[in-house]
Amino acid sequence: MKELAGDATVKVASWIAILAVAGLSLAPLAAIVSGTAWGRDAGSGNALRSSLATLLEPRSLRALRFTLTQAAISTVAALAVGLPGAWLVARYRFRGRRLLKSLSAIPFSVPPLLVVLAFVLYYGRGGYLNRLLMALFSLKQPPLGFLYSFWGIVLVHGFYNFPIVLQNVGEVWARLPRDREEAARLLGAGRGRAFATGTLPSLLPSLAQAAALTFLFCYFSFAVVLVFGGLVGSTLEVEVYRRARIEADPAGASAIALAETAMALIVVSLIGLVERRDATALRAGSPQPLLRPHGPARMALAVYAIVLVLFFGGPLFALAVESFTVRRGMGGAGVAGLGNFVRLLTDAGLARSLADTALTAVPAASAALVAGSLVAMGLRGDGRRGSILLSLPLAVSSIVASLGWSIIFPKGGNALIAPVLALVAFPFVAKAVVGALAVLEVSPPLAARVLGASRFRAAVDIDFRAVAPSLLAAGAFAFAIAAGDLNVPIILGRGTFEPLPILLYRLASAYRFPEACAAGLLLGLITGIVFFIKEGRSDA
Amino acid sequence: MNLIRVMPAEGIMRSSSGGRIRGRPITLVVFVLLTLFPLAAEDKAVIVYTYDSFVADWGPGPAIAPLFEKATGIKVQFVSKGDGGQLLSSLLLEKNRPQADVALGLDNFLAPKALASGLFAAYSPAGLDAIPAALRFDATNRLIPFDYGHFAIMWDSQKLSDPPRSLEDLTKPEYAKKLILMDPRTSTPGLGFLAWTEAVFGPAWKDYWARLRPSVLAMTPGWDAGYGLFTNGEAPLVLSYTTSPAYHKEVDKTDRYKALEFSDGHIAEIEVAGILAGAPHLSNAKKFMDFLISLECQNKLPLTQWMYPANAAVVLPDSYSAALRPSKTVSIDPGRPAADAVEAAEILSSGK
Repeated sequence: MKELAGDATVKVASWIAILAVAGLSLAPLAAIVSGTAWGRDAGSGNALRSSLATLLEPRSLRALRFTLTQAAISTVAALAVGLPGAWLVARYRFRGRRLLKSLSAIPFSVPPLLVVLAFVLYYGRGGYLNRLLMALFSLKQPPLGFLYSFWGIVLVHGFYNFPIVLQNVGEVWARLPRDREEAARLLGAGRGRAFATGTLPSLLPSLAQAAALTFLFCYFSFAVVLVFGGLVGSTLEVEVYRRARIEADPAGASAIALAETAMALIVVSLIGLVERRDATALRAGSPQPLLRPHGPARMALAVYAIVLVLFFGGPLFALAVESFTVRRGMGGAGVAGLGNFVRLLTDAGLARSLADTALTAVPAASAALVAGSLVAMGLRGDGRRGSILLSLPLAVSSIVASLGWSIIFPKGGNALIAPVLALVAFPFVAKAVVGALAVLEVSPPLAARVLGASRFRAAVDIDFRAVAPSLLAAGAFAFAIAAGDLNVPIILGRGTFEPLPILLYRLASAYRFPEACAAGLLLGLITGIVFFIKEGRSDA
Repeated sequence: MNLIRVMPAEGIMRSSSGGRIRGRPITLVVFVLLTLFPLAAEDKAVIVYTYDSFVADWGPGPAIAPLFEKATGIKVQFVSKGDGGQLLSSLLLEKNRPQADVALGLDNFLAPKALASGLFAAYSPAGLDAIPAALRFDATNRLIPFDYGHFAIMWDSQKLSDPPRSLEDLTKPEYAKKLILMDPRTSTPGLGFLAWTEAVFGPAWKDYWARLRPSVLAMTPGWDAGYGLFTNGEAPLVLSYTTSPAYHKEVDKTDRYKALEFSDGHIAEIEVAGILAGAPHLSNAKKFMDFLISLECQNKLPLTQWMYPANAAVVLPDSYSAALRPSKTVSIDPGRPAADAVEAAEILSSGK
């Protein structure tokens, strides 16, 4: 492995990429700091004091408390739903197992706004579930009203993130040798004790990582809180947006953005630290054979399936139904049909929106893939430094990055969208490539060099060919992230530029539900199919 | 125009299918350059920033755009920026390099801020005299009224039997979680409701908002989302306009949804449009403003915009008999509500 790292050309190229990514991740922060410290926008001499004052405003403190509380409780909810699934996926062979695993596409490819729509349709006061309950128990009032409360946000976040837990923990769990737990049971330990001593310690890194990642995603929650949180509270991310774009208070926005990023860095370092241990655990074993579920396991599987279908499948189903329901006027009666898709094409500018999506997502994914591959090559065999470096950009939220870049290039506008999206997608791509490279145990480039190939060609040709499928998957991943992101274009977008998530946001906030659902279904298909292929590949 | 924007995308698809990483950075550079110049300026176009419901397919946008194109040969492109408050924020952000020619959909409560910021250029459209003097609050003619109406609470008579009769009634426990409001920071109706309560309660409006809090189910970013939740059956009361029942009478053929007359009186909203200083297509923008207040365009407003047209010559359709004509109106210094919007939203979300 070290022989390759010693290859000068590759090393130089990859270190340039590493420095570039680190620089580009930190540049927006630097811009925000200078904007705050010298009061470029505030116009006051003592901007440091004023940003401290911003942070200590009751409103900011309330946002901080809300951000942390909802993120913590949402994480617990995601763990509670995700862990049983991780166990089932790791141990048993059953129909729908692949589908369950591919649910991890949801947090990356289903725009949060779409989830909001789906939840209103399903859990709302006039939604499917309430109507069903009212009919069943002949109630006069809808019994479930939590959607517009704190718990509505937790539910959406739980739905959004449990697949991360399921996927991360399930993958490690599937590779854990079962002999330790079995040995403990042979020695007379009960089921719980055997799990606690034999399995849990090996799962902890992946568990901690999934929890930290979920916490981070909820910490940065934007669209869900923007739409639902009007009364409940706002996250720091929403506060940054409100101050920057609604209240024309860039100094206040910057102060909150900095504090937000500083706290995120703590969580991110945690992810980076446990990741190394996790990678060791992952490489330790090959997947264990899957069992056929019977007895209690069969029961557990059935219960889990019912819970998922009822609580999480329901909203998605409602969404699909709505997208094929054509309504006249607002809230009129509906008939089944393709009218919404037709109307999207003719009225809402779907074609232009698809072109705008391609214009941003394709270059962003390409750039993220190139940078991610170079960085991953440079970091081979350099575990700790690597994982922290790769995690660093995670701490800079897309809202904060957009804000920073718009300070650096005040006239950048739409041209900034693709580069910033590339940065957002980068850590995920780089990690995927690092994972793929780690699998290359032998070093074919050495052999190629013996045969006379130039060093660079050897590294690129052989390595590239060996990891090409994984690169393709990573690129698809990057495309899904870039195509589904709302936050970057909502901050940076100017004029008539309208990629698919913005179109969706506009339709959704205009409550053109049927068309929004149709647009969302299309976006979900574009990004989700890419994911399903990727999951299928890694499953094989 | 669409072709120019789609074709480069095909270009990269082809080059990336080659599988070589090396080929990509160049295409990337080309791409970034292309995105820098997304639209070549078109002489026969006018770009109008507005809000969601104006461009909705049942809204006025799709109805008036072909009329304007037929009359002048100019293509109008409507761009929605959310609700009125977000529209103003977008304009302020693009102030130094305006991308639009006309902004349509600010109102009398946002006007003081918009006028003070120097966003708009003065222009007196042809036929301005057809608009009653009472509506023309901007003597400099930078902002021209195109419609008006009064705010009212809409009531779903199938979901709630005993409706409120005053703003104070709304705070009663029986209406807990039954009212949908809009965010005064981002939407013009939200700001209008704040103006209404300030006009009725004076400095005590803050206490009122704190008392009102338990009754509010949701505070949406814009009117469309809130009204959509209402018609979807999420709550039986919503902030809207005295003219909203005309919509349901005309389109849904129902009188299920009624505007409630409140004993406190009602406050008026006057919606305005104006030409942006530095508009890229200035002469087209002027023609659009002429057209906007012309009888031909204004005749379309009652059944698409569901507000009273500013042009006094328009004959209202029969369905407007369902609209509420408030017997009492209130008013307020129009600059005040915008200054209190952040505080009002904070009161609703924190109770303090």
